[in-house]
Amino acid sequence: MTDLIEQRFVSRRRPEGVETRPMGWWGMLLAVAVLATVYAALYFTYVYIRVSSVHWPPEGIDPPALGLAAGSALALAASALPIHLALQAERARALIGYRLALTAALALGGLHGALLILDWTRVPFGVDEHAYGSLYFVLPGFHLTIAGIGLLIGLTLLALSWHEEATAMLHIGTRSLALYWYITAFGGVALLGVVYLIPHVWRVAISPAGAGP
Amino acid sequence: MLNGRLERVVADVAERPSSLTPQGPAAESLASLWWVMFWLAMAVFVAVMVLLALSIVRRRDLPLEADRFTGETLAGGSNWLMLGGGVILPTAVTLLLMVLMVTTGADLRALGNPSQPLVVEVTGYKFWWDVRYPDAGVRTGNEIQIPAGRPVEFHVTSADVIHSFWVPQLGGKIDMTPGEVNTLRLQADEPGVYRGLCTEYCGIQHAHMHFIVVATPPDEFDAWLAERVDPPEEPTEALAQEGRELFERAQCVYCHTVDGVSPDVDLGPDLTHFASRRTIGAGMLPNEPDNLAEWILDPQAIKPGNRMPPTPLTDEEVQALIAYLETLE
Amino acid sequence: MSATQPQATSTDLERVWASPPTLQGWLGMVNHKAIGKRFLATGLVFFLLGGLFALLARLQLAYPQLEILDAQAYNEVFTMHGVTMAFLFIVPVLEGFAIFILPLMVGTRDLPYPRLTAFGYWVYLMAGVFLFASFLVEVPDGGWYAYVPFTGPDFSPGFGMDFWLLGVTFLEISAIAAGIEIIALLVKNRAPGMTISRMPLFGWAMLVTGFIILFAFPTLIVGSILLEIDRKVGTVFYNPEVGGSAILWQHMFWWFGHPDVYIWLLPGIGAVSMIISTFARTPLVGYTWVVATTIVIGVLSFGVWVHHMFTVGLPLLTISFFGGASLVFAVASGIQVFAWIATLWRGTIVWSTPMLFSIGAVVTFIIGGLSGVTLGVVPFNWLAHDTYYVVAHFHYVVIGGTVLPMFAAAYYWWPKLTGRMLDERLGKWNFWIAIVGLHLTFLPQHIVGFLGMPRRVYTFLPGLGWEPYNLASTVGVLISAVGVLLFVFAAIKSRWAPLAPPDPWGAGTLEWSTDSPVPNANFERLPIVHSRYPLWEQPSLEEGPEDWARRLDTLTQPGHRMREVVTTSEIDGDLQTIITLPQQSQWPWLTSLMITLALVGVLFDAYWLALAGVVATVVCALGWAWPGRDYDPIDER
Repeated sequence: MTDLIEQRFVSRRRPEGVETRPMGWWGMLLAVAVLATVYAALYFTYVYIRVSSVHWPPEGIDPPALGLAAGSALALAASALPIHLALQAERARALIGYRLALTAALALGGLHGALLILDWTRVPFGVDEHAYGSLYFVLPGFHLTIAGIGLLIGLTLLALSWHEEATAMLHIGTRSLALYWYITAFGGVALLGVVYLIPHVWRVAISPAGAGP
Repeated sequence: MLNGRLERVVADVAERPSSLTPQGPAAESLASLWWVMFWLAMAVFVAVMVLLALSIVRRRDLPLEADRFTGETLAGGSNWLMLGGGVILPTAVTLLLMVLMVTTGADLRALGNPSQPLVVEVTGYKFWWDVRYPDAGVRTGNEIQIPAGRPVEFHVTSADVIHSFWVPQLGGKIDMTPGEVNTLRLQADEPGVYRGLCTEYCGIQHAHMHFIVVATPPDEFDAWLAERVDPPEEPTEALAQEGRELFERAQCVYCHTVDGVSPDVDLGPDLTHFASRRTIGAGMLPNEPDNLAEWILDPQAIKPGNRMPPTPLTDEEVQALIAYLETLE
Repeated sequence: MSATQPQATSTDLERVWASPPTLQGWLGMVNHKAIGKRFLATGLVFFLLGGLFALLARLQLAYPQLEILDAQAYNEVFTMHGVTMAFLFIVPVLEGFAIFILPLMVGTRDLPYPRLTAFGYWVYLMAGVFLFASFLVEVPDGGWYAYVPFTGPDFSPGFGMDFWLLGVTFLEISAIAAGIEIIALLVKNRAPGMTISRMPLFGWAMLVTGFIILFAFPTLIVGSILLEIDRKVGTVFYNPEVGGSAILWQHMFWWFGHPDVYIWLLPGIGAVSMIISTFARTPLVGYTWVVATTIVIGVLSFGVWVHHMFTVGLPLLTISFFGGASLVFAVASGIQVFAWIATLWRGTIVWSTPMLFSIGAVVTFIIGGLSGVTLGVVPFNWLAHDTYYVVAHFHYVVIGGTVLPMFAAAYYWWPKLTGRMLDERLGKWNFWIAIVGLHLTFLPQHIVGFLGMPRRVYTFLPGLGWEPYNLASTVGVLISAVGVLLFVFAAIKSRWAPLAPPDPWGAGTLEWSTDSPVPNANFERLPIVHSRYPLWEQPSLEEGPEDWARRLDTLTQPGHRMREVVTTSEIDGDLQTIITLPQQSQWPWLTSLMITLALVGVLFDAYWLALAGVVATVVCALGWAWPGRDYDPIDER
């Protein structure tokens, strides 16, 4: 067997002047793979416990109210746009636009968190009566922790934008934050969908309880 | 002390729990499967070792400076070796094993008459077994009587942590998980006494969580079961009556059920038919008066960490209690 | 090579890449060679501790009803044997070894995120200390895979399992950090001209291993956090009485756990491929086959986790699928084994200790693989699951696929690590004693599993027929211990051996072009590569496209005070940019320490401490990210 890879990949040199991705971007890309796996584990946990139960939500609990959660998901999804704008502003070295865009993203991110926590205060059950309750609070709690770290990164970048020698850092940092925030937004919206919509659309078991995957 | 007593258990009570001496159709099927795989593995191992040895031993006139193989393609012989040994051989073996897997699995599922197996419910506790015959309404513990030559369907679960139910001479194992009920079909071909074990680490005395399976001829079994439906008669002899009162006073009733005497509790095994059991402590000691006395006075010395506390009794009280327990056939 | 500018002297470059011999320098060390050696040294200590646990356990099992360890002590010892070996020895040593050798093997001066490398080590050290601190409080006794409900709040109410959950989760951060480093290095920092198909096989093994880490470890982190909050906060994820599931833990654990064992295997067989090729004096036959099979093993490793759960009561159709998928490993392994055989067939064998260990590894691994294949056949698994047959199987594959290759790698790369060779005569004694010991330990365990002996039993009843096999197995462990101690002795003795030449074995890959021990900057001038075995197939490491040569030359001119390496394109290895790396940083150990404090707070329910630790961690992360002096030349601080 010949060295197939060698023959098929003729050297494709990047034309001069085209920007290569900063090293930190690769690291963040791989970190995003880790985050994606975390979200996947959360979805699996929810679905597995759902499949192991007959009634969902359990007797005595109503399916969740959707208003606040919908607002939270919308704010989260919307926050991706200012992140994109911040990326463009950073490339154009437009610091004022950059700071505005970052602030908008942080505000929307904060709003989505606040709405979710507000929803938590309004439900009649806790974490310890039934796995439904445990899932309801803890899974979005994981997401809020991940999002919170993203907000901290964003705040740091905002602060850095006033530091004179931080141009390279800002460049790598903004691109990394963008990667991080996109996965957080996507994963988080999907998670909210799982936690808030499944009790509405999948109320009765497909098969008898205990016959898991 | 302990060693000497335990010596007598295995020799007297049950056969050795070897899956290579199968005593039922499921175990036979599994043992045959094993031997086929074993010889297949042997053949593969020998073939690969021969090739490995040949490849090392054969001489080539190469200088010790490494060959310069810049850009060279894989030589024809090496290609066949890779393809034959690395792909074709394992693929063939894999396909063969998949076929064996499906056919053996089918064998095990088809075991017995699907319409009327005897159902036995077993619940695992730390570190004993609760056994019920739901159709007859009979409850016992740590020893399971079954009819030889008939399929038995075990419904197993756990009351606390995950245990696992295995009788090596009769078949494979199944986990006992709290919140789930799993089913296992076994059959003993001949009458005999077999040892079962817990095979999922469940805590401090997992090592001593055994049980005994007694297979008897079917009519004997039916008689046995029928006899045990009614609660045992009250003891007539004086010492045993004293023991009966002691059974309540010494608070045995808080953990152990005796049909007609104490309500249904499950902190310890049901003792209604204790006298007919061959072992104490879930397969640990032969059920003999000396062992029983030692056990009642200080079970922690024999099985440290199990749930039964020591019971302070005088020698006469112990004898009375044992006399009572011996009436519980 | 430019004719106008003088070449930098080695001492200039060496000074830039050196670290001051002060406490600050030691704590702030970020260079991959030092970090790699720290991983290896710490890993050796944990190996000896894990081996001590094994020795104790087997002494207890030499005869029925011995009282060397009581039941609780035994249960703690077997748990910590598994935890130490699986989490504190195997993965860190493999990581550490990769951290040390990969930059050398692919022709660069360091890993791309040196502070992350250092952080990974400090986390490993502190998590290891955290786990062993349990011996002062309460030792975990739930087994290394900690099944619920036994390890939940109802049945393990003390601190023991909290040590496990918090310690292992902490440790996983170290592994994920290493995974990210290694992938980034292998994708972006190879030597100019090292196309992806010229990357050494050990590099491919680590690349796939890195991806396995990224996709497997987070699941255990999530599952462990859920269990920890079940224990601390009162959630009920794993409580079947109120809607939770005990089986959920098994899925979460084994989704991680099965790929984990391929994290253990792939580096080992990657190293064996390198060593066999050197001592057969020929490039490895079937490079492309082996790369393909490595990738297949990596992907397939995620599709078989249920084979640890065949007796749980899942539907037969489901488990048959996973059984079938498990059998496919036979094909992947077969390709690897036959690549080795084909290489040996073509080559001329030179015997040495690394070669002995490698061949011994291959034979042992084949035995383990065969028993593994039988376990994939679902009905047989119902017989053998949770018996000593399984214990025998996994020790055979771990020893054959990882531990013996580690010894081979130690003997082979020792001159790069320390500058000296390990004694060959001692090495041969080491090998033969260890091989006899290991086979004597584990071969009888197959049999006693058939005779009914379950796993994780602190003693057994006499008269069941288990005695001779247990005794043999215990004798085997004693012999193996002698073998291991011989290695330790050889390692210590090598300090007084003469310095080794750069390439004592006559090998072909880049790491052998450096001096022994490896200088601080690794290479005087970064090499340009045209083949898979540059030292065998290239007359020079400096010839290449004009602009590459020019740019690499500028990096070695005097006056360069920063630590610089190059990035290259992912597939073709074309030279792209020059990047600057930090020289020293205190943030990695500080951040790691703050996380440790937070975990101690959670462990003992001291939530004020936990909160303080979290805040301090955030502050440290901020300090780490903020532009500071970490990149500045050390003597300018």
